[in-house]
Amino acid sequence: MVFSSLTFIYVFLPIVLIGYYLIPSKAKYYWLFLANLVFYGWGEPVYVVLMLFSIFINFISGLLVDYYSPSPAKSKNVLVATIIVDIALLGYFKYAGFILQTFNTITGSSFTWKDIILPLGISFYTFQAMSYPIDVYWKKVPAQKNILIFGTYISMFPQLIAGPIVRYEQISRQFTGRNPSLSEISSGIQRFIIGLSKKVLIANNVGLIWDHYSTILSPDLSLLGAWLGIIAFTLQIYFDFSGYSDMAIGLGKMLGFSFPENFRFPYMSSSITEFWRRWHITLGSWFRDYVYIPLGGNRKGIFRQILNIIIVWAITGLWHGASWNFVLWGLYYAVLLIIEKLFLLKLQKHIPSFVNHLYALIAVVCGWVLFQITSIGDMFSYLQAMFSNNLLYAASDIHMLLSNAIIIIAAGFFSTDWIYRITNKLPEKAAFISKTCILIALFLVSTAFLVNETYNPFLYFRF
Amino acid sequence: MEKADNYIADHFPFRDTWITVKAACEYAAGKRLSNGIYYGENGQLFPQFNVPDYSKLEQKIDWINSFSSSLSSPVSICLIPSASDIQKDRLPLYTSSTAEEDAIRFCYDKLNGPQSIDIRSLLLEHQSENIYYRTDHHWTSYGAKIAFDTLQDNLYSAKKYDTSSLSATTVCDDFYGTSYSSSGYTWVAPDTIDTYINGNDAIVESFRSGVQNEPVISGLYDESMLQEKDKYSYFLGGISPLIHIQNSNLAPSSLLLIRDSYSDSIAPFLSQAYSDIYLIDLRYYKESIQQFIQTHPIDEILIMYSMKNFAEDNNLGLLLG
Repeated sequence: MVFSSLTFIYVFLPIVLIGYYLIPSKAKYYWLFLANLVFYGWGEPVYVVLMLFSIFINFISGLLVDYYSPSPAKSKNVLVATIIVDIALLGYFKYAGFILQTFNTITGSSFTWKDIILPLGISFYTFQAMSYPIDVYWKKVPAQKNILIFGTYISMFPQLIAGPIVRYEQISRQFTGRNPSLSEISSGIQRFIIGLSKKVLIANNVGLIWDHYSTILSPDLSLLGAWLGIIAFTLQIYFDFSGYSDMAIGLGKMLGFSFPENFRFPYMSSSITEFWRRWHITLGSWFRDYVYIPLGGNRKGIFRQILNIIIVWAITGLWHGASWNFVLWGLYYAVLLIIEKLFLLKLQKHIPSFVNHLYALIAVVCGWVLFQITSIGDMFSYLQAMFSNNLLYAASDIHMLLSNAIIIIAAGFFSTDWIYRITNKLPEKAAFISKTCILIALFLVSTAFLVNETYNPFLYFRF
Repeated sequence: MEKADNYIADHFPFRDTWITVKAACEYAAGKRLSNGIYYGENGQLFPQFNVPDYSKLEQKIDWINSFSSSLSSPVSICLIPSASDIQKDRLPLYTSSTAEEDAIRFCYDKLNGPQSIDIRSLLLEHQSENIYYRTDHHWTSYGAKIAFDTLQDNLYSAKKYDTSSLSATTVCDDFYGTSYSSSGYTWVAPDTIDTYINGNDAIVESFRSGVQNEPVISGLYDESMLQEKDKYSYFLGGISPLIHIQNSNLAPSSLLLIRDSYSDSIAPFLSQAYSDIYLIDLRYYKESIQQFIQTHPIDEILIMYSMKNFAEDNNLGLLLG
């Protein structure tokens, strides 16, 4: 199930919340666990079993790591074995076809592979699950003795399929059995509506522009069209992804949980280093804490650090999908980050800030070309259309621009924190009234867009 | 699961109001396209024409060529352009294209045997008039009348019928068509439905419940349909695999019309040019066409579709069956 659907908003969510609030103390987590399974099983009935298996393995592993903690060698063996199983599952369901295809290309062989449908959210919940035995091993958290609590954490429907990636240590102490306060519920609902509007009103609409241009092949694609298309995608993925995170955080609050923030206005960044501190924060910090730092981080000299950055970003790229363009996308950022680390960040201090912003923005926009166009050939012809094109614009581009100007400008505006700067200046009462009215209007209009939904894609099916 | 999702969307309370809210919001944001319908000048609604699959078009013309070569009676084809092709200057800015014109020309160029009848030129001369409904994709009776003039000049055994002295009778002034309902642009003004032919001399046999069953006998117009949502079915009473229109005042001459719904409103004019017209809708007629031609006295055959329906149709292969 996805959040941006009538079934979720008007049927699933009310039933789940009412049950959750009525059931006392920790017994409510049985209800939540069941709700999680229904949510996941709605689209993927078979893969519920896989998720339960992952829960079971990592739960047992946590207990064993804890049990063997007096003898670190045994404890470490258990941990390593668990990580191997976790990665093997992810590898089998997500990367097997990709690895085999690459092997075929290199060796000229022709092994075939039955295509497996990628289990929804597997990359998210595997990373959540994996962090748990590691944290137990590092003694950051005690082992969880109750599989229901652990299972509820892994399968938690608000963040199950598109993040944020919540670590066990961040949430383990929140399973107290208490009901959220009214103000938590109210701020959860507000956050959910903001996320829903970002997804339904902005992302889906600018998405249509990208949808149009992504199908036009290079000689017919004008310079204006190419930029319009990729800028639309830039806005789509931000509003879609951060909208999902907002909805997740809002739903978490309605259930009495506090999830970490995942996006902090990434398109306001003035460097790529800053961008990645603001974009998909929970993924970046996961890779930092569980890959980059264990590899030695920046503590083993500059060459080792550069190598570590390359490794982490190649894997980060691959995490986004089993295809070489994602690796290329990751390495593109590795190169930019290394350049910034070596000298660019120092140089930027002497450059006007709008130039820095422009640099970061253009670098990110070009990055999305690598991200979104799977075939390397199409990718280069798209870049060619953006930077060297005989066809400046076509009549249909002007129509596209005219009929989407308002939505694009609005999307650009809401990519910044300016709206919060404005509302913070309003007197409290005026701010409250205007916020309430706007949120109700947004919710109604979002419903209207869902009732007559023609385009409502789920972008993370490859993650 | 998807079924449950669709059920909820389809049965959501006040569904039409929500759809209007969406269309109005998009309109306010500067969009002039909703569910494939353009919002044009004075609120006239234009279904979008997408570039068709040319290999499929070629296949369909091949079928028509073979169909024609297997027959002794002459075959004509007429592809009807839509309002977005004929009334381009009423479209939203920068949305006009030559896709439809190109597609029609492509089909006509590929013909080998059948005659093509170009109604586009005469419709273009009348583009400033109301030849299409504003809220529906079909042509008006007036548009059909113009097309009929070109048709009767080109068809082989049509009796000449002078349309110049005909005058319009308005039968309905609150017609909201399919473009209206699918777009959500529910604030536009309704259309009127006019007729030019009284139809007193025509008998219509409509095999609505299948060719084997007894036909429904009626006139050219079905008054009861003016109370329904789909008022365009006023012409010939709506969907039917086979309709036989007889006009006993005329000397014998017969036309087989392979057609889509645009023919419903041109049929009254044709009924003044042939004593017998057989209208076959290939979406619903599942018998052998060849056998039908052998067992009926057919003087000539006209294949007439709107270009959009022709491009999207999947049943033309049945001509050879």
